[in-house]
Amino acid sequence: MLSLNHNGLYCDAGNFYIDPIRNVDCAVITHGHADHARWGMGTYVATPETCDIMRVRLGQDINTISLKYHQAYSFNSIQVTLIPAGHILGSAQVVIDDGSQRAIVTGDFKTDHDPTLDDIYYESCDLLVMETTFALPIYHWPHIASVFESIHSFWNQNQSDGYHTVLYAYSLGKAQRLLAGLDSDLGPIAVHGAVSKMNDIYAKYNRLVTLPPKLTKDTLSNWGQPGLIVAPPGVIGSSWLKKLGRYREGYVSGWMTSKGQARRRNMRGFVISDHADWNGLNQLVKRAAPTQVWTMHGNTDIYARYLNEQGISATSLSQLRLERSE
Amino acid sequence: MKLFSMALNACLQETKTNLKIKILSDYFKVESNANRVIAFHLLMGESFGRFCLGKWLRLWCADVNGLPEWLINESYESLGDNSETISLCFGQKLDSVIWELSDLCSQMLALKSAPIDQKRDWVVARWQELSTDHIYVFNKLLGGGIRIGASKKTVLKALGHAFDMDPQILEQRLLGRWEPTCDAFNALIDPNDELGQGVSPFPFYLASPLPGHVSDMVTDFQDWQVEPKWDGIRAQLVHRVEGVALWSRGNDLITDQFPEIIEGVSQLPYGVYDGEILAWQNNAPLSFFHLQKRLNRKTISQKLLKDTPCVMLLYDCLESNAQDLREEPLRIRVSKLTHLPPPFYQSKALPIHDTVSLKKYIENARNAMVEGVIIKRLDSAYLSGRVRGHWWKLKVAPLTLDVVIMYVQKGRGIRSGLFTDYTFGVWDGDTLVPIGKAYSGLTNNEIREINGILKGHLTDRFGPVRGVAPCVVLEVAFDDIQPSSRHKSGLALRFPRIHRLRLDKPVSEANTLADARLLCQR
Repeated sequence: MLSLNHNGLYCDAGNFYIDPIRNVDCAVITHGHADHARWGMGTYVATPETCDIMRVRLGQDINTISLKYHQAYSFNSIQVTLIPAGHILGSAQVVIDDGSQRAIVTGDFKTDHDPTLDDIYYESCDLLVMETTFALPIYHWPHIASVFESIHSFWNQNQSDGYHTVLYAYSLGKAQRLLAGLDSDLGPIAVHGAVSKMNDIYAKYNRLVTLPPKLTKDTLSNWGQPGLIVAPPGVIGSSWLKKLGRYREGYVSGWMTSKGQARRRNMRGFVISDHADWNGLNQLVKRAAPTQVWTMHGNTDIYARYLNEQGISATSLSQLRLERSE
Repeated sequence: MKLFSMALNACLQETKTNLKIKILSDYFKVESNANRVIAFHLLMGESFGRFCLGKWLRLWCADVNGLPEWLINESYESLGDNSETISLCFGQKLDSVIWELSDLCSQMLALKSAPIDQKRDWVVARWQELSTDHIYVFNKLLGGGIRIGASKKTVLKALGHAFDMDPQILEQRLLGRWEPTCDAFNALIDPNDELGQGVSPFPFYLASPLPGHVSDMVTDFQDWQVEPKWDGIRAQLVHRVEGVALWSRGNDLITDQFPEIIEGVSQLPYGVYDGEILAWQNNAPLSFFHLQKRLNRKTISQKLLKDTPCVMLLYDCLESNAQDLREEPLRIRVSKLTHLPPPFYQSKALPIHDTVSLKKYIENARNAMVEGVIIKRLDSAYLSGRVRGHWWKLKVAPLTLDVVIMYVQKGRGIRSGLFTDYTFGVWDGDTLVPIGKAYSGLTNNEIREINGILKGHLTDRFGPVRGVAPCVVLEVAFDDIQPSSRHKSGLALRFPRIHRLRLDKPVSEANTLADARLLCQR
């Protein structure tokens, strides 16, 4: 039902691609992150949330077909349904049904609850095409409440020492999950412009209630006390930070599981991920109960080998990963 | 366990050394006697001897978690720390039994020579009782260095701060034989304790690299003396009534490796001498490669004794007949070095009194088998560590080659997850032959840049080592090059380090084996 060519993952019978890496006529997009939603496709098929995100990031003039979760859409003989993937706002798994067989392409997903979006929806299938970013048994996400506890005490400490707190998080998804969990009674919060843009979309879907201001010199002088700033990792070491004066930094990512990773960045690490951890990956496979698995992104070879040893036929699509990284 | 684990985590999260010192100092104050000596021992980078091989721990971790062993090994390769890998594989869990560090340690030591099955049962049972964080500390206790970005100096400062002691006195008391016992620890931090000197050495005083030009630092050559910088093993010879010992700069006892030197001591006045051990033949030093054969060996064969006869060139006298001379000026201390019995010789000052003759000497130094010079102020005391301003070193410009990365391996600790260990080679026709390995010399940004390039060029896999298609040229610097059977090229480099990243250079323009051989025959 699915195959892989130089454009990406392709459904021949329906004549569409999923998260293609080169320009094609019809692209089903799992979510709005830049390595999945690329510029230059003829038509984009995605959830309304993802369509909104793409309009902000790729341009207002893109052609979109907006598909709500669980709403079926036909490409020739193929029926396509988008179901929640739990990764970021609007993220979807693509369910592809030809009447006799069903495939699911997970895109990026997580199994943890996230207040800013719908929980992942599990469905069974014959072919499961899944991401394996954190496919090693060392990745077990800590309880989210305990992570926020340490973030809050970091913030508190910085405040009493007279330092601002800068938390680095991807501007789409991680930043909003972070904002939803932060205790705004502790002090003033502001965000980088890139985060603010995405916040507006989350607000439109009632997924963020309070919208922190964009960080400007004025916001800072109005505060009168050290605050917390959420910014994308891209600003690390940039002049944007100069206006802050004294600040301490924290990095929010699943990679911070490794003590060495956090130390190398020379800042505090907080483990919050928008991907599935080891148990999450296994849970998805169990719930989907596929006869065949294809692995994409990250530790594809490792996870495919593991599944094969567990008696589940699996193939690594690392070839696609190579093309993506070009 | 809890206090130590908390202190470690706090240290790991802290980036400022001063705050690390505060965290450790607070910890030393509140920790029990029995626990803190163990914690201190581990923090100083020492171990209690390896309980078992790291691969056994990974195998047991795999078994108990129902995972294949190769998957734990992959995790280890990705993370670069055995203790951390195993603790993380257990997921997020809390203690079901509270353990004291000291109890774990004494049980471990009691089981040290137990059969492997018994060791296994004990380790696995502890893993199941301990929290994720405590499993990490427990694994470190079983063997493996704690990496929290705190040097020995930092730990000593923290201990000194906690017990109102001068860190330098602590450092000196730790020299020689330190055993991690409560008694030894209490003696260490006792402000009144006068430990017998025994055969302990003094902390070494180290020369600093000359910053800028010689004439900026050495205004008048009359106040300074210039000595050859030998390419040997820096050592302190302790000859006291209590006994004789030879200590390397790393504070290792190397007495047994140099029997001919120890034999000659009886003719030498009591004292503590600082100098250089060299393999010596026909009134000239042999290269360091000969000397290296003596190290890391339990017994020295008669053949080795004959092939690499060693001498000790003395350049300082720190104690003479039980009298501490370290505060005396250099000119007084070296006056104790006349009329030495073989195999001891004085490393005499060179007749260099101006920059012109200094420059000339440096230019010829490599031919004289000398690494460069040490310039010492004649009135300098024998200080400790690398205090700048009194002793300068000036090294001969290193040799360099442009080489191509052939194999890479991921780093450990702070460099985990990145390829930081590079085996490199030179061209022999149209194939590369390995010539050496280097880890140091690149900035973090350069390492990241190289990793970006390597990713697309990885080929074979040999356990943790990955082959790389030719893609990155490095300029490596080294102090010497000698024939060797260790590398396929038949050559070995001394102190190879990465001098520059040469992304501008196509791999085809890297040096050849013939170029390297020419350097060797020089």
